[in-house]
Amino acid sequence: MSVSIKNLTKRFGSKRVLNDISIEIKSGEIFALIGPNGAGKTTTLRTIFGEIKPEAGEVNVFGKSLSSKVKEKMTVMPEERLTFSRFSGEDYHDLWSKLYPGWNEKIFSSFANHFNFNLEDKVATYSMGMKTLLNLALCMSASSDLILLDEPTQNLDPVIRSEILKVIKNYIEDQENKTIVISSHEIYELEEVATSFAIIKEGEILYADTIDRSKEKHRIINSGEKIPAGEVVGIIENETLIRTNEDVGRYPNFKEIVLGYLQGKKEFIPFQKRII
Amino acid sequence: MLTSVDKHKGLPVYIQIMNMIKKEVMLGNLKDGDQLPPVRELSKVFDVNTNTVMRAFEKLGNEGLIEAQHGVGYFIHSTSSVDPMVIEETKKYIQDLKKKNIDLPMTKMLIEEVWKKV
Amino acid sequence: MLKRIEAFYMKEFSEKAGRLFVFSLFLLVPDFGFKTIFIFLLATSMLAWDVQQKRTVNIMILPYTLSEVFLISWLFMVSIVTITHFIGAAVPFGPLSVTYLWTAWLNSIIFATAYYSIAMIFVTSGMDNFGMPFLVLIGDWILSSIGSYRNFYWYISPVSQGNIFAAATFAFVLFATALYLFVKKGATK
Repeated sequence: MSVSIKNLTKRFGSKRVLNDISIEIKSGEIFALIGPNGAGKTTTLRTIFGEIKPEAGEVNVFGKSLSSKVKEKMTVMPEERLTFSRFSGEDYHDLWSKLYPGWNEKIFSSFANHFNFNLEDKVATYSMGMKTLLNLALCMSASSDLILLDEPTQNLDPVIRSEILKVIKNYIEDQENKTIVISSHEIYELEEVATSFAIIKEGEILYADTIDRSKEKHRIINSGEKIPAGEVVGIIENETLIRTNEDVGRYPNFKEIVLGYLQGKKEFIPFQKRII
Repeated sequence: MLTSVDKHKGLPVYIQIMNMIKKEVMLGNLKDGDQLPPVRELSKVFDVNTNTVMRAFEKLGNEGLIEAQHGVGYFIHSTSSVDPMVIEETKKYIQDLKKKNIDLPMTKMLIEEVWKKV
Repeated sequence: MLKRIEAFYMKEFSEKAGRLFVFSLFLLVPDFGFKTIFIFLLATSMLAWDVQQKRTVNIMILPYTLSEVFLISWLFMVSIVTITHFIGAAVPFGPLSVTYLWTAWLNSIIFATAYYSIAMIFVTSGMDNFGMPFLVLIGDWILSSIGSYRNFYWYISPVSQGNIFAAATFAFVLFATALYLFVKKGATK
């Protein structure tokens, strides 16, 4: 098990940000933490790398509690990216290569060459895309067994997005026992790379599974159709997402599963044609 | 032909893989006793992780369509459930449609409609 | 561990270069009474400032635990206070008597430790790194100047340090409390 979170609760002041959440992330997975803004994705990541401590619950990484030894095998791309003021690309390179015993210079140079990093320049002057790529290059050059990526494709143009997704997939598929955790709300993108996921909303995990198994366990039926034995999860336009073992309706795609859970059974149809 | 799966489809990816292999058997491209390419290689072809390929193989094994030989690999253990004549007839029918300039999407729609009614 | 300390120093020097340079000029003066306020400014712009400004993410993603960050940031401050103190004593303001020099150094370290901790306690309790500690400093000045040796507080006060052992103990208690709170809650207000 790469990351194991048990019954985590975190408050900021009187606001409960995480409410008794539990997540298990196996090694070899690309795990997606999906949810709307403010659902608790970033807070969950911050507890995994130990920036904040929960009021209750337990976080284990590689089966151990956090220590600097454990942290040498994990790296993070935070939402803020790289923010040390006055640091150049070269400074970051020096800092990270000093701190991570698994540092691999070859990997870093190949990133630097491919994406043309201006290592002498201050990182504060980089574009968002360049900052993201440099941060990703640092994470991967550290040969981490676990990489946490917070909104890795946010505010990026489509070309860099697809490059990043390719690199993420390549990192997991061509190496043994590496794990990547991605927090995002880009459902379509996540579906292309993720193997497992958890849906988080208002600090609670609504559902967690592998993508394939989640499709197996759910069906979409027309709202008019008879609902089979199972649990109604949510309503998506004219259709209903249900959790059932029966072979009815059709398989839902990933987007429908996520939307079904996030929206729930509340329908919002403000404009309705009146038939007189 | 084996191609990459469509991850945005509802159909679970491992079922898409099973279907592709079954299709190859029906078309006669894979025959009884043929060895399947290594799992690692197939995971590249399908663009999925090796666990997913293994899952599809496991299910195909349960259905008796393929057989695992320890340390060697996976072998097709079935002859086509479809009479070769049926494939031949399908070819004829498609040729007919092509002559009338009916394209692939339209053909699919026709087949779907007919499939539902018959 | 040495590498982690080195990396942290590199980050501090680059991030806080301007402030550190200005404070260091004043810290060269080997007189504790003179530089109290500058030590205060330095102590409150260490880790407490980072937490206040929400700038801890970039250090916490690196292989540091919360207690390491707390201790290394403190060590960084002690290094600055010590180096400037002895450079000042050796070059522009020397030579000074050995007892005076070491007592002033010890006073500085005790004071720095106490206010580093006070700033951390306030920040981790959701208040700020400067305003509240500054009020405490004023209170400290007033309380410790009343009645000297008849006043118990005069002995332990970080400003007056009536008894250096008592003051060191008091500073250590504050330090341990701040560390405990920080590790319990994390780098957040």
